[in-house]
Amino acid sequence: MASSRVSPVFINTLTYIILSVGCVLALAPLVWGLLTSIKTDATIATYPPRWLPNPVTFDHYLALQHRGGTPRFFLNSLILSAGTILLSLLAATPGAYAAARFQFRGKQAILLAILATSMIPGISIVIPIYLLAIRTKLLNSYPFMILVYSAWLIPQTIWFIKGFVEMVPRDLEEAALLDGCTVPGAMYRVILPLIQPGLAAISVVIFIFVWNDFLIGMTLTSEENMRTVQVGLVRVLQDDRGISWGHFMAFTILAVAPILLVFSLLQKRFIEGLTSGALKG
Amino acid sequence: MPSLAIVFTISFYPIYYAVDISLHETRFLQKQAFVGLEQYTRLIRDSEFLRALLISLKYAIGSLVLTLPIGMLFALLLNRPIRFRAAFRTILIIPWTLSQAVTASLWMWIFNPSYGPVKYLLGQLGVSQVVFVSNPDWALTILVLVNTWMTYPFPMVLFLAALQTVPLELYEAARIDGCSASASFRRVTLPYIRSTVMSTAIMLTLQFFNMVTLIYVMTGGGPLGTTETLTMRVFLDGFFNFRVAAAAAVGMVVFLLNIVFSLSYIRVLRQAELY
Repeated sequence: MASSRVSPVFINTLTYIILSVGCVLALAPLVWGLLTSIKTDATIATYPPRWLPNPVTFDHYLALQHRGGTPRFFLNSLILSAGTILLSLLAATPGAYAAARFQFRGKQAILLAILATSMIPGISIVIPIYLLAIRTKLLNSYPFMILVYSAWLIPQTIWFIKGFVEMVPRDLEEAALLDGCTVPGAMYRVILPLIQPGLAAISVVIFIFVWNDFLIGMTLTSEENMRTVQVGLVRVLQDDRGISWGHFMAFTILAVAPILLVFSLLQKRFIEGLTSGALKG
Repeated sequence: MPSLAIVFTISFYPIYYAVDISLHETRFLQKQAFVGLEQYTRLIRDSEFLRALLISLKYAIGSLVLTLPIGMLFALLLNRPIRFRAAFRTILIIPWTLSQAVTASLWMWIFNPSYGPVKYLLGQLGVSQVVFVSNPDWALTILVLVNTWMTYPFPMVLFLAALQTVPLELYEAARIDGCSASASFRRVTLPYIRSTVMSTAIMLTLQFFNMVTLIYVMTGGGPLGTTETLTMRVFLDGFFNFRVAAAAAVGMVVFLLNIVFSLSYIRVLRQAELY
């Protein structure tokens, strides 16, 4: 920190320079993609590259609307994200509550076993999950995909919510119980309102995970109209007819937009949630 | 608890099933004769498997060697009393929020061999070598660089949080004892946040080792198999080459390596609690 040998002004200047360079590098690929998405095809396919879009055009975004299925990909990802948030919270909250408040035999063992499942690498189990989906004819099914996403996210969700429940003073529930509340009633009326920040944080994590997932979306869908945003994006890149980079960058920017929106609105929750545990990739 | 049922069916049953498949021959998606450990013994003799293991290690270690110091550098700088700290931090975190598919897409365009800015900038510097993902000499290096770009915010955020717990008195004491900035970093800061650094390193190793999407989208394991990591083998064999049993066996090897890493993670956390 404080240095006796180098002048503080020099250190400060260096700090600003390094951080600024870092920020430029962090943003450059996104900015370049954004600029490309609003250039005409003629300005995109030039060498040396023309940095600024002139003329500006939104044709690529408009064309995506008519490119088979693209709006549908976004709808699919939205449905899957919402479904997974709902199922994970519904399944994990009572479990987290029980883990935080009750003593029962084998509690530690169960909690550790749940945590252990979150350490199973996704890639090691996608093949069996895929075969399972084929055997049970559950390919291209929202409920099955939501189930798989939830199973991957519930362990982390339980541990995360458990931490929030433990921060609520017990007196509050005991008061509610004395007033004639049942245990689920006390959980619903007293705990839930107080752990809302925690639920929000973990919902953000779940949303980002499902929205950004490629592996499950790729393996559990075979029909074009069930594809997710990330899968659709990759398929544009692998299109046999060759790619229009303008289209492709417009798609990329649209795929990023919801994430950046959530990130800018809920940055603090986002960081809390994401640092709370490792995620399957 | 319904959550238990979901977690165990979707997580443990597939493991059992994967082990089961890996002990059989498969043709397309059908399980055939039981062959015991043959898939595994085949792997040990398979030079391609060893090569994939090596590539996985190179990828993970290369990425680790870059992300940890970069994360630490930004964390140290952001921990200084400077202006616009929140803004710098927010922008520096952005790459981490992007998906692997999006990251791959953005960088594919930057490294585009015809119109990409990288080609242009290198050209201006007088480098005429083709630096893009279809060049076997560069593919893995490019993947490591792109991976570093999307991952450094993770250690940065964790290190920053840890740095903020270091008591200021310690620095003060170090300064009075005549420590230079770098000495106080080595003697005060690092020992204090050691467990965070260790656990972050292990989490990152796992993440790098298990990575599929970024590699699949950017190189598909090519060119000439130079970026075919173990996890890429699982993905390609399982879903494209109809070698399901072999893929399941490699998947199990990946799983076992994960367990080894995770156990060392738990050890590090235990040791940290002793302090």
